[in-house]
Amino acid sequence: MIQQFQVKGMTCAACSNRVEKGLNDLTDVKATVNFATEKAHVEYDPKKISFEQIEQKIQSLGYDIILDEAQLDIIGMTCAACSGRIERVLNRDPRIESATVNLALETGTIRYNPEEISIQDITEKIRNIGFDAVPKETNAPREKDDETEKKKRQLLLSIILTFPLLWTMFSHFSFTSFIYVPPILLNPYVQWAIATPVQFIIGANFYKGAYYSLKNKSANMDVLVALGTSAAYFYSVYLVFQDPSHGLYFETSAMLITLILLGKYFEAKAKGRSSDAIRSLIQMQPTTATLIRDGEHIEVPIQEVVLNDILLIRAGEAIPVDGVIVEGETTIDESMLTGESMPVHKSRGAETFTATINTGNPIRIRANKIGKDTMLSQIIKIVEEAQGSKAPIQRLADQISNVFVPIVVGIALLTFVIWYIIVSPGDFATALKSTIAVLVIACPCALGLATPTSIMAGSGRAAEYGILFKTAEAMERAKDVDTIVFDKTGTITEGRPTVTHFETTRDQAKLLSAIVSIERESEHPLATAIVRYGEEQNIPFVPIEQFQTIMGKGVSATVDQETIHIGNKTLMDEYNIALPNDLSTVDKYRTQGETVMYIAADGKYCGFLTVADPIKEGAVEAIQQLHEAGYSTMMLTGDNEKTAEAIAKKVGIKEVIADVLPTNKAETIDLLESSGLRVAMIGDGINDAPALARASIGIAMGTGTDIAIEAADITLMQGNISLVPKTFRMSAASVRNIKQNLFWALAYNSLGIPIAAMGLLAPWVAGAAMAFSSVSVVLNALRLQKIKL
Amino acid sequence: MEHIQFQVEGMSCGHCANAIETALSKEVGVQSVQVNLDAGTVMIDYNADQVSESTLSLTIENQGFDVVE
Repeated sequence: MIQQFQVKGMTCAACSNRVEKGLNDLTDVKATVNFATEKAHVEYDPKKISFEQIEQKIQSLGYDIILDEAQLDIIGMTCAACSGRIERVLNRDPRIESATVNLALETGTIRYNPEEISIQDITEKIRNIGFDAVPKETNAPREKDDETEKKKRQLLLSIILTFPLLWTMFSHFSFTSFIYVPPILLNPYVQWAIATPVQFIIGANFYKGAYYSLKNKSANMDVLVALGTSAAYFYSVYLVFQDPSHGLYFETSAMLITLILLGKYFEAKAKGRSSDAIRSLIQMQPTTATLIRDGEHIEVPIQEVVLNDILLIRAGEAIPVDGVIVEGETTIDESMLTGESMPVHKSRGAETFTATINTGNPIRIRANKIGKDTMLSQIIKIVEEAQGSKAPIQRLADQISNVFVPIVVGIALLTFVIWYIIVSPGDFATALKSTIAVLVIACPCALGLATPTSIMAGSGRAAEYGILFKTAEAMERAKDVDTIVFDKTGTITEGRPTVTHFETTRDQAKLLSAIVSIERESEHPLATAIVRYGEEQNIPFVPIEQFQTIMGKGVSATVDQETIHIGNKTLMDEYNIALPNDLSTVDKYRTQGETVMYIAADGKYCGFLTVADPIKEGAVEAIQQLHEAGYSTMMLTGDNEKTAEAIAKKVGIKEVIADVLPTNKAETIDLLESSGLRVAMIGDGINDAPALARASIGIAMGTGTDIAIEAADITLMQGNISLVPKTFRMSAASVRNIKQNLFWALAYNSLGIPIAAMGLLAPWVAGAAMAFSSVSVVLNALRLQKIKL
Repeated sequence: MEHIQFQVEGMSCGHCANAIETALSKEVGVQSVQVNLDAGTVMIDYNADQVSESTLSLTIENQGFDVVE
């Protein structure tokens, strides 16, 4: 069976990789763990491995599963056998970790996996065996916000304790020693007392993290921190008893911990909300449907609809399940599937899809796909899977630590050997002192600040341009993209049909006046475009009579005693309106993908209008810039091939895939990613959500649907497409800045290594390195705020 | 018409008996159900063409009782 659950405590991609490996080591378990969503997707045989064993495995690695606990009032229990029964039935469900039922108090406490089972499911289970259950009214706090709060409290405590130690730093430097420092703070025992809780209570997490990292044979930032702070702390303890006069290093260890915590707090605050795209998609599902049974209309909850039921869809209603039209003719707004807001004409035999809107006449459909099989459910499933399969990157700081720690340990050992054997043979104490000193100075304080400061400065600057990065990972990851896939409608084009040409043999202004007055009565996107065109030219409206919509074909009305028809060729044919023989200009526009509407007055042709979705300003330049920078581009659209090719040509994109369903958009991205490309998907519609979630980087147009914005990693405000090249430049600049920061963080401390190795380390050296590196890092990060994209 | 008797563990009160009776009666093909709390037995008259012995046994187990083989 498959269970998905949330894992608590993973701080980096290396963590999620370890969890994944650990789970896969269990018998017959197939697991994938996604760091970004903090979810683990586990396929296992409950007969071979129990949920408890999976939980234990995760705990042994140093993490935990996020389980919800529900308190229920259980009514109807009469004896111990009843409560025992309830416990047994609930505990049998692998999605429930534990269930304890108290007969006397008539309550039950259930710990369960909220990803797979809900309180409603649990109360239903209890009802099925003959009792009643009601959740107790409690407000369970959200675990995630708790994490950020906890980090803030830890940070404040750390700052409060570190500050007095820091104050003593002034006494180290000759040029600041005039500043008053309370003598009590200079007492070594006092310093020891203050530093101890910081080291072992607040800093406990680093020891834990270091233990698990080393257990898996890798050294991450936790290892470096634990090493450095422990060296500083224990060395200082040694000095307290040996020779406190030269100064201690308690403030080094405390400061290190505080700065790292500061960095982690910044990152926790900035971490984007895990996507609510799924919830928004689920809310698109209509909750009721109108069944037609024995000639009666019955309103039922959606769960009661079965295959082959006949349903009535009134005008303006959203379609509740996938079905085939059995009666009626209408137009349906399928923008959630194709991205096109132009309603599609459908009649008997045509397929209709969940959550699309019936914009025309009432129809009856026969349900042919319900529940998990509908197109909407498929989209939700793919977005969910896509979010779970994005390959997480190892954070740069951890990569550096992995290399740096062995180097530092190597140098320390070398120092020991040189002292003990060459310089001062047999002098264990001095050799040890120098060795520890190397470890103390080597650990860079500013390491924890290096990435967060860059990310904060970078995302702030990006936001000024209108580029919103949702996570720090997105900023680090975007620069690796080599292929950019564009949606068409709403991304490259405005997404709004606009009148492009208007030709007539009659008085333009007067005819236009009549036309806009007629089209004002229609809600069709083509009509809206025409009305807007008239408004831009300040064309006045005139009274009309006998307005008629001829579905799928056009409109007509009487204006000033003339009968005006506006519509497509089918309309003209139906009303026997002859079109001129030479329509070469019209054909030219049509091959460019524009929609042509003919105009006739009193049965005689008198002109035409073309409507097209204009290409966004800046689109051509943006694509050109991307090509010059070496990216390959592609168009992926649900619209028809002809229009797609036409737009692609105008904009400079060579590869076009058209007529794509939303589920296939994600598949296409999948294919590209599997072949080794790193893809950025740019889109705006619901139909883009699966692809946006699946691509390495999903970029949503701010003018698009909320679902697209939630599924993506980056949002471009106002749908400004010229921001696309800038986005990648920003990511590259940010990563460069992070690398520079990491360099500065290590540089000063590394300079101190030879000093320490020679046994000349003094607290002022450590303090100076700390101060210089922190300042350098912050100043360097601020440079990112000035960058011009 | 088939007749079967299950030995069931975990039944202790009238409520439990009721739960088993209700659940089994819902099955298509079950003619009658008789629960004997003291003996710990459940006797069922059923139509073997419409419902199987294993379904009956499973129904009892799904209510949280143990059917002893």
